[in-house]
Amino acid sequence: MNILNNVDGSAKWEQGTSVICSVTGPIETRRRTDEPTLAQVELVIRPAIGQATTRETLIKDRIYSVLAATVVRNLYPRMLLQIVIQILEQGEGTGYNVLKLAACLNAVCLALIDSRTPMTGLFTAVAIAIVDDKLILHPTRKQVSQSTSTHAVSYFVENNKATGLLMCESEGEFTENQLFEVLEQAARACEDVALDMRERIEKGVKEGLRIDAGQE
Amino acid sequence: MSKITYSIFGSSLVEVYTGMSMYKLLLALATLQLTCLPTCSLNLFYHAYFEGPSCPAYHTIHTMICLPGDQIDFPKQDLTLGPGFLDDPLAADPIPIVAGEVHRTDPEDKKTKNQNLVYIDSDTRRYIPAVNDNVIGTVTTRHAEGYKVSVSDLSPGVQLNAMAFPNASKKNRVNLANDALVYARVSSASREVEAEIECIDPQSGKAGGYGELKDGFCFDAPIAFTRQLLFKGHTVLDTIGELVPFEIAIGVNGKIWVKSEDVPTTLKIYQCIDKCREWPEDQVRENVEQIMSAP
Repeated sequence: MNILNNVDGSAKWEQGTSVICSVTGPIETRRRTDEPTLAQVELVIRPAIGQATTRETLIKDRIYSVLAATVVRNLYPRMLLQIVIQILEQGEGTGYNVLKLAACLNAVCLALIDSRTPMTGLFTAVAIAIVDDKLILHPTRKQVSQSTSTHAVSYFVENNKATGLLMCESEGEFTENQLFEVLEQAARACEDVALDMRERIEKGVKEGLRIDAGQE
Repeated sequence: MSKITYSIFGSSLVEVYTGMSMYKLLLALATLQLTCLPTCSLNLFYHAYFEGPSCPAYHTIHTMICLPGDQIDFPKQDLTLGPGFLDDPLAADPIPIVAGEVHRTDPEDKKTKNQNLVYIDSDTRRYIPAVNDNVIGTVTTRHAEGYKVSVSDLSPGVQLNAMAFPNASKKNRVNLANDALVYARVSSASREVEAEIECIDPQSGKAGGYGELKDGFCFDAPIAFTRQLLFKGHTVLDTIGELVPFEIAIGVNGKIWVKSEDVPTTLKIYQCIDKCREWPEDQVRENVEQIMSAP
């Protein structure tokens, strides 16, 4: 958290892949694009190599749907919230999106908290791969390429409890029961991720309010 | 003698959530109609909102760190919500919407008018105008009725009316150049319209330290730090004041302006204020003396 100096909030998330996210806002919009009652959210994803493609657009679309459910947009009408995600490491073979999507969501959540953007709760995401009918949380690059299906699941977390499913992006072949199993395990894993985030956020808050070096 | 131009607005308070309450009332009424409840208990849906600077510096009896969506144990009755809380009319309780330290004031305290006030304090890097905040802004455009002033980079500008100066009239106008620095008080801040600032002390009707900041040096500081410096003060200011005369204006938008007899001294003062967060309190004097005595 708080790794970039010239933006309002930033965070880095490393889990299989590596992602940096920055948040600037609420800032002034260009008059043509603003919304009269809500803050506008602009999302830019920069891939590790080359130009943004349809793959990035897909990730962007999923993140938008998660943000729509968590960010309190009516507090800053006619303003712009600019979120930029830079993927540093692919972490998985081309053709897969699961690790990147989960890492992007977690990085965005931390960066939004760091920028003190109003949110109704946390959102966290985990990547799951099914290899030989076994569920693997936070799979490695090899496990992703061996899997029969991959799932990126995001939950809304309040009070350390996963209370609502925000997004589930699945690819490959899987049965109904497997999907339910995935959702069940992902909820627990999302709670663990949220606990990890809480620790980092509390450290950041204390650091921000510190007035001299002697103060705890 | 050192002259420290900062004033504290502890008791004069501001509306933070004006627009919100109308929206809430409408929604609450809609909810009531939908569920066909008797319209007697509007208070159930309606919490009072705190009117005050963006971060009050009251004595608090309860602090803890919270995250958005956390459940916080406090008495729900007669609660006044400060910055950082959202009272969703469809949710049971008000929830925190930012991460930070939760403060609750002592209901026995007369200074807070016995309010049961809760608010969240945290460091931000973007300043959002709130009424009665003292800010330092840069004039970006001049127009017929006044000036457009930037209080935070990339944020929408705020208005400074040409009449918002002491003794100003159509003939007697204050002339500010572009890029001039002004120390002002936020006089109105609403989400729907541009914020306004003024250079008049509302209590006396005089300048009261507000106005153009000529010469000197203005630098950025963390917003939470400027707030602490303005509301609670810091030993570093007193220590510098004992050594050299200087003027300082602290804007809670994360800007500090200092001026002294010559440029080297001003830069030394800047160094002291910039670095003092890294020093334990008992070493402040030693470090300040070291910096100020450097050639």
